[in-house]
This record gives sequence, structure tokens and C-alpha cells, in this order.
Amino acid sequence: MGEAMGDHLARLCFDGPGSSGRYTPHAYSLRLRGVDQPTDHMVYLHEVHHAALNDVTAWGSALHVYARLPGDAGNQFGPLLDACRLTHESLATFASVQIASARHGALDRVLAAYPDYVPLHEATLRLTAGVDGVTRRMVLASALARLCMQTPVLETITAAEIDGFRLASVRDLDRPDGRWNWFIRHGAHPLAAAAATADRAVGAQFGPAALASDGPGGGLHESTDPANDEGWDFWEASAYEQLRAALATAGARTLGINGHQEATATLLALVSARHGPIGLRAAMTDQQRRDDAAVASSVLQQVRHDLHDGDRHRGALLPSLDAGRLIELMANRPVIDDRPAMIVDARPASRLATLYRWPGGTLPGQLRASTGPVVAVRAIVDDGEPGMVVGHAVVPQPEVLGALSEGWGGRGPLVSCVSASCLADAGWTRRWLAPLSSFGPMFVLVDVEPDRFVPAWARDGRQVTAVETTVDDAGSQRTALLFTAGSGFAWWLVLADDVTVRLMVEYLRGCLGSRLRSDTELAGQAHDAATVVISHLLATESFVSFDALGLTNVD
Amino acid sequence: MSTDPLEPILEEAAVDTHLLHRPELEAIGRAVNEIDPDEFIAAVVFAPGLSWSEDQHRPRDYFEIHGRHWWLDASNPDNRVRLVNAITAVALVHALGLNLSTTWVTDVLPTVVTVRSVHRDDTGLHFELRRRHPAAPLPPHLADTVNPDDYAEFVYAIEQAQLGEPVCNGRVTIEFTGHDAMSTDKI
Repeated sequence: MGEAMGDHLARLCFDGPGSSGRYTPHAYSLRLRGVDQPTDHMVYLHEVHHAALNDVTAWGSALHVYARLPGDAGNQFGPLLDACRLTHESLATFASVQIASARHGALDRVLAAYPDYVPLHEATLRLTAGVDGVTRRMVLASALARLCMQTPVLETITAAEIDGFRLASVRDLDRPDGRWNWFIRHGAHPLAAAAATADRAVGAQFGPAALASDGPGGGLHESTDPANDEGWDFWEASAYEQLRAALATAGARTLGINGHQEATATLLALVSARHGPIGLRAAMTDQQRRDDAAVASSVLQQVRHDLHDGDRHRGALLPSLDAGRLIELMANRPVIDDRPAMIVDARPASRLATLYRWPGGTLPGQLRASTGPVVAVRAIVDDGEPGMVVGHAVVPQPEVLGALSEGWGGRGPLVSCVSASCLADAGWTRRWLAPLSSFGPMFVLVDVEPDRFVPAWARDGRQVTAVETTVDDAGSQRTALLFTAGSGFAWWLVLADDVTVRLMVEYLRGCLGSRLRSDTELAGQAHDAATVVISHLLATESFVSFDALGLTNVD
Repeated sequence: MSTDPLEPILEEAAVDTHLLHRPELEAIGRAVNEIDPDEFIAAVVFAPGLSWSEDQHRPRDYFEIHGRHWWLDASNPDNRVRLVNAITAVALVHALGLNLSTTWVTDVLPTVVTVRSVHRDDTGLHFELRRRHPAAPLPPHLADTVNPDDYAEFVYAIEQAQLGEPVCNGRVTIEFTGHDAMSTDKI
């Protein structure tokens, strides 16, 4: 991670009194309150659009590169970001409101809670005022934002050999916000003209069906039917070219709608030669962008759900407790139906380092020295400082699980929660999986991208059963997905919000087809255990993401 | 500046306070140009004298273009200069049809142009400007962000404006009345 990324300025933020989001070229973090679904959807979509815009444009490629350059080489990230904030925030705000409105109705009330973004939305509404149809306006805003971001910046960076690049090398009209402001100054007419041109082009090429989907009685849901994807992509490309021609008259050096790809490849080759691999995800192809499972996978790779208010990382301690004291401690804490529960967690040490704020700012030596994932029983403890911290009582050997189980008796449920990233360690799995399975119902918390395990299930022809469930967490609505493959050893668990869960279902359906079966509820013991483990995670996990093992499609 | 140019602008915008929050700046922006005040506000928000509500500290580059939790104290002399520069930048961009951002023009304006006066009458605001002669080289503090070709183009556009021939744009009139020879310490 470049140094610039450690700076809180190096983010695009969507802040408000309720749910909030943060985007960096590495990922986006969401803190969704689960109180008001339209708000959560708007925030989620806002951050998704930041990611989407960066992934298909030259300026976005430049941000991706400088965000990952080590040391001083990454210093130009800040100036590059500052030059595109208006474009980014305008599109993300406008598109998220348009899409969320299609489901929830007018969102004036929701957006009003984020007053910093109201003028951006209003300005984009004025820009697109001469265009009829929700889909047209949204696609046009996307075309405009892409045009603003499609500047010859990558050639300039390559010519300056990366380190020598300064923003001054790029003319004002070849910077995203310089272009966005140029269009603002020219009002609604250029966009209305572009829409009319695109209508004619699509009508001639595809007939009236795609355009009619944006007419009265249509709207985003109908327009975004996959059958219309090609037509609307063509519409966007046509509108883009019209806007591009208008901007070129002012002297801007413009690129085609996908004109950044060759320059991105050239720059990445140079970066690789200078700095080695920088962990950049491969860009999606046009075909992948029309594939719902591929889009879902891309979003899942980048999303992170913060489960903790305030500081993103919960504080953590490493108390020393023997089995007897641990049982005594846990037995006095009711979890479900006034009964206590004991949950044993397993996470790789590296994951524990990123999940928690440890004393002294570093993972304790005992955990660093661990040869495999760390198995521990967690408990919220009061360490005398403001706020509670999560105590991790380490279970040093698999045999201790037997002692805990025996000592616990029938006090309440015994459950284990192993993160999927642990399963990549074959030696640890051989040692621990059977004892953990014997301890009680096992849940595999999905903290890796599904591309790492679902394709194997598909190849093996395994039948997958999935159950979606909602959990009320002190007034907040959380959504979880539990699924199991054939006679699997455990329930796999995705804990997030309804959008992420829907994306995961979309991904599973895309990979598994008819071998994915949905159930409405978990039976008996599994239901109680799931309730216990979800409550436990909401109380003790800092965040949920799917990058614990890094991403598979990076350089 | 030989006379205080801000007061006529505040009058034109019907702003009667020196603590300028977003609504006041919107009004000032619309007094100069009706299209959209956001670009002008962005130029002002980067002013170093910005204050934040609830004692919040925000760094200069923080994205607060559209925030509502700040204000500019127009009784501060430096803030007045920045504000007049930003307003003049808006007027110039629109009157001369420049393809440059207001923020960009605001930053370079003092090296190229002196705002001699602003007055107000029934027809609107009248800016009397003087070209700096000879045009100053790009100041070092802008070297990393201002493109030299943009700067040369801006200087050329200013030099092409005819002396004594007012250019009108809506309720704003701009007139160049001569040249100022300025020392660099005034930049």
C-alpha cells in the first residue's frame, strides 16, 4: 500500500449521520446501520459506482497504480484524486440515487440526510434535464463521467517514467473535474444533443425495443433486463462519442470509451519493471461486465462491512485463562434463551492482525509465532479503558477442545466458527478440523472470495442448499446467507447486508445453476447455532470482507 | 486594489454579513453567473482562511466543496482578496469564454491581473481590471499543479482583451483599463 493510502484524505467518502461508506482504489468499506434500507442501498451503490468508474477509465487506472506504489512513488495519488473528486462524487451520488429510487421511490428524504451531496445531485439533474427517461439520464451521466476520466494521463505518466509525473503535466481541460466543470458551464444542451444522437443510433441498430424499455411504464428494472444490455451499451457509446466531439472543440485531448486499455497495459508493464507486482486486479472485460455472476464477484472482492461503531477496529486482548476459568467465565453470560453458549473461533494470525487493535499496535508475539490459524474463545471484557475490548483466550491444542466440551456439559450450545481462510492451511486443517467438528455445529465464515471454492463445487457437481436469514441486532437489520455443499462438514456463512447476500446468491446461481437450491429456514439445532454464531460475530468481529487471502485475479 | 471591491459584490448579492456560509456564497456566485455556483464555491472553499463549525479542523484539500459546515470570514483581509479573485475568475471565465476552471483561474489570477475596482449600478457589476505587464512567470508554488501551456494560453487570452472595450456577460461587465507593473512580492 502506498503511503498516500494511509492518509485519511486519500479516500472518497460518503458521510452522513446514518450509514456511511469509504472508497479507496483497494476496496470500499461500508458501515450500514441496517435501520433504513433505502439509505443502506444508496450508500452501497454510491461506493460501487466509485469502483466501477475507476475500473473503466484512464484516470481510474492512474489512481489504481499510484495508490499501490511504494514510498514516495505514490505521492502523486493525492493530486490525482483531488483532480477528479467532483466527477466521482457527482456520478456516484446521481447514479446511486437513481437506482435506489427505482426500488424505493423518491429518495429526497434519504439524500437530505447527506446535505453535502445534495448540490451534486441537483447539478447533475440540471445537466441531464433535457433528457427523457431514468435509464437515459443515468447512462448519460455515466458516459459523461467516463469521458471526463478518459484523458491522456496514462501516456503522460509513462512519458514521465512514473516518478517524474506531476499534475502540471496535464492540462486543465484534460483533468476530470476541469471537464466536468466545462460541461456544467455549457448547461443541459450538449447532453440533450448526445441523448438524441444515441437514440437515433440505437433505433437504427437495434430497433425500438431497448429504447421503449425506458419509456412510460418502463424504468430501470425493465431497461436493465439483460436482453437490453447490448442496446444500452451501444447507446452509452454513441452518447459518449457525441459528448467527446463537443469537448474536443474546446481543445481537449479525448480518448474512445475504452481508449485507456492499451495505455494501461503499457503503464502496468513499466510499473512492473520498476516495482514488481503491485497487486492490481485485472480489469473486467466487456463480456464480464454483462455477466451478473462476474459483476457480483467483482463487487464482493472489494467490499468490506464494518460491524463496529466508532473506531473501525475493535480493541483486543490476549488473556491467559485455563479451561476451568474459561468455562466459569462463559457460563455466566446468557446468549440464547437465557442460556450461555461457548463459541470457538479460528482465524489466521494475519487476519487477527487486521481485524483488531492490539495493545501496542502490534499482534502479540504469541500469535505471531503461531504456525497456523489461531483457535480461541472470545469474550467481551472491560479492560478499564473507555469501550469494551475483545478478549481472545487461546485454545493451544486440539485436545483442549475435548476438555472444554466435557467441562461445559449441557449448559448451552457449543459452536465453532472457522474462517474460510483457515482452510487454505492443509496441515492445520488435518489437525484441527475433526476436533472442531466434534465440538459442536461448525460454521465457516466466508472471508475469501467465492472464486476460491465455489468453482470446485460446480466441477464436482455438488448440490448446494442456501438459506437467507435476517437478524435483528439491537434495532439494526442484518442479513446472512448460510449454505452447505452436499453432505458438507459445515454451514458456510456470509454475514453482511441484503445487497451483499443477494450478490453472493447471484454468484452461486451463476456458477451452480440448478444445483443451487434455496430453503426458507434452517432446522432446529442448526437454527439455534446460527443465531448464536451470528450474534457472536456481530459483537466481536470488527469487519467482514472477502480478501483474507488476497485476490485471485491480481498481478 | 485601490478601492475595496468586495462591498459592491456583497450588495449585488444582497448579502449583509461578513460570515459567509454556503447560502451566502451561492448568492454571491449567482450575482456573477447564473449557471451554477458550485465551481465558484469550490474556488472559495480552498481559501486558507476557511473556518469550520464545531471547532472541526479540516485540512485544505479535504473534499468539502459542497459541505455546509464551514464559513469564510470576509472581514479578514486575506479572505477578501481570495474571494474577490474567485469572483473575478468566474466573471472572466464566462465573459471571455475560457475553457479553464474557476479554481484554476483563481489561483493564477494575481500573477496576471489586478482588480482595480468593482462598482455596482442598475445594470449590474462592473469590474475594472489591469493586466500585469510584463506577465509574470508561473510562481514556484504553482509549478506542480498548473500546466504551463494553460498558463500561456490564459496570459494570451488576457493580452488579447482590448483596452477600454467592456465585455458584457449577463449583469457583469469587465473592462481592462491599462497595465500594472507589479513586483513579484505582491503576488
